[in-house]
Amino acid sequence: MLDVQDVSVRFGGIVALDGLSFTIDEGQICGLIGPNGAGKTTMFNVISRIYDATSGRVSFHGKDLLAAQAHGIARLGIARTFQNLALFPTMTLLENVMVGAHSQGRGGFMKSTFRIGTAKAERDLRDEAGDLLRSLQLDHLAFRPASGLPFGTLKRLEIARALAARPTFLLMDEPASGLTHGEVDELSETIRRVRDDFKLSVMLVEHHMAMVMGISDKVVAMEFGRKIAEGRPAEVQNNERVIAAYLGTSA
Amino acid sequence: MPTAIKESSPPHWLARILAVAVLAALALYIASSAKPSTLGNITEACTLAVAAVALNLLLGFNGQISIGHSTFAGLAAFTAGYSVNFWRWNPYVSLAVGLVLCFVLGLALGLPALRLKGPYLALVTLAVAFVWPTIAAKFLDKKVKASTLKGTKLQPPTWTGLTNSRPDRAVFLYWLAVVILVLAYVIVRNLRKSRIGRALVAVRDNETAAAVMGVNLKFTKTVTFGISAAIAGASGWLTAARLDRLDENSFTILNSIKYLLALFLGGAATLAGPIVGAFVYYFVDDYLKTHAPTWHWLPGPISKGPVASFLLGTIVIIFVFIAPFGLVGFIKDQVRRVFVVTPRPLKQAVASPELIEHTSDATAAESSAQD
Ligand SMILES: Nc1ncnc2c1ncn2[C@@H]1O[C@H](COP(=O)(O)OP(=O)(O)O)[C@@H](O)[C@H]1O
Ligand SMILES: [Mg+2]
Repeated sequence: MLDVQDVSVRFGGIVALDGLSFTIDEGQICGLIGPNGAGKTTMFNVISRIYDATSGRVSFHGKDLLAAQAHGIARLGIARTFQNLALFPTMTLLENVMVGAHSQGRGGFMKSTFRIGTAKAERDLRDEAGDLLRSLQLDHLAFRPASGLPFGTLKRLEIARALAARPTFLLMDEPASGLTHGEVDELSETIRRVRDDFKLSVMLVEHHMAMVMGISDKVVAMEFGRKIAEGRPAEVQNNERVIAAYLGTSA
Repeated sequence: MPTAIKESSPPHWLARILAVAVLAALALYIASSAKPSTLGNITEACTLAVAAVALNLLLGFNGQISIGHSTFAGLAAFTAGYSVNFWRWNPYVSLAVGLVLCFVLGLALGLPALRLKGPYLALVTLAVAFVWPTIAAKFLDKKVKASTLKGTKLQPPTWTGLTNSRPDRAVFLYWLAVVILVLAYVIVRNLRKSRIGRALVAVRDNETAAAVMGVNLKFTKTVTFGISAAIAGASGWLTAARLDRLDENSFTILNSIKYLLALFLGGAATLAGPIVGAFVYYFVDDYLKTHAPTWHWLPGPISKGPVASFLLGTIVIIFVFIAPFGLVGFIKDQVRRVFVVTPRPLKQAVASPELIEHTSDATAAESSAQD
């Protein structure tokens, strides 16, 4: 389904990704791990077309992703969350989720200006967004603006907003950061549930090892922009280079 | 505790209908009883309000600044003046063509806006506003400058029962201004409350995230620029309809700054803000012009005349510090102590029940009570 081939990204002198290759199959949860600065977020940004790859290829269901534009990615079925939150702070939680469904909607400037024949779509969208908020236990905050809410709450809002695009492939960048232990377990549960209910493939960047290893079907480990291991969680966990990378740079 | 009114409940509808009815009655009352000079003032205030509404769409909701909106007003005004006087166009056709021209020029200006942010965009639009009077002076000879829609060129249609006498004409122009202002307001309101409106605000709040959600940044930003420019053009057309003469100094950067001050005074990114702001700005300005003192101890040119604009500028700046969401934000805060409108609760029946394992107990009433 997702096929990343030999992707490199350079920022001036910095090599953020250095010939990275891996694949993800339909319905898989793939964990992407590595110390800070390994290039995980950069990989996400390449897939969502925020960064251009210096070289390499990325295909999604056989389509060349790098030929698409950033705003075309959602329509291909790819949605994501952001490591450092990229919400719409002045909008309510409900509106945030409704924007998440932008790629699913129709009605451009003309229809919006005259507001003819948009009422039903708006109502349905509102109901759907409400359902998503409820499924992430955010419905009681639906009419609050996003700014000023706790980090963990906003992380869940990011997931709800991403799901509103009805993706087939969901990228999550450190969804468990800032969550308590109990919340992390709940989040694992949510991700699995969401994967099954929405028939998703998931790519998950996370430092919380117990969570990644518990939930992933496969794990890709990175260091300095390169892949150092790929395989089942247990294999990667016991890989010497992975252990060295983690003991060496972060702990 | 404030009284809660449910959104779209009968009392809420009643309040809305009442508000519209009161405003309509007020407009009718003014038309029937005000002096022509007062009507002229209100027409000017409406003209300013239309431009401020235009800027609100662009700056308030989409986060793109323009100090060049006076240029669009000027373009539409001169288009109307020229085409009606020299080509004998119907004045309403000249309005339509002016709006199209402004839309196209707006798109063109929106293109550099794609690459520029904040102060840089402000600079480019400022440059346009700066260059415009020079262009106007160069290409417009005396005859053209004197060409507006005055006199017989834009007459009240017979069905209105109005003649082209001075008092009747004032009533007619007043209604034209009111109707155009209402249309501008409705367009911006519709946009804001729709899919596109959410996209506009999303772009303002976080461009990257908006793009990831599927919002085409280039298209959205340039078209918004175009629509905003066209609405500003409608304001310029009203100016051409009211004045006897236009010249290169009719639409300078000072006009653009006036639009900005009116917008921030009333409250950017609120629907009523630019209108309230424009009216308050216009009438305070009008009052100060005749009542403000002249302070000779002030430096430079401001010591020469009444300190009206200096005072007004200071008032607006101080006000924006006290009430960052403008007059409308301030009024809303006060009203909220007495009445709150609780949003329509989320639908309880669930589309895909298998997804919902933890249905939260919190009812909509509880959630709004937390606000
Ligand atoms: N926009 C950018 N400009 C310059 N350097 C960047 C940019 N984005 C990421 N980098 C660099 O690329 C490397 C990888 O960063 P990142 O992908 O954020 O790592 P991770 O998510 O694994 O912690 C880092 O050295 C980072 O400083
Ligand atoms: Mg990262």
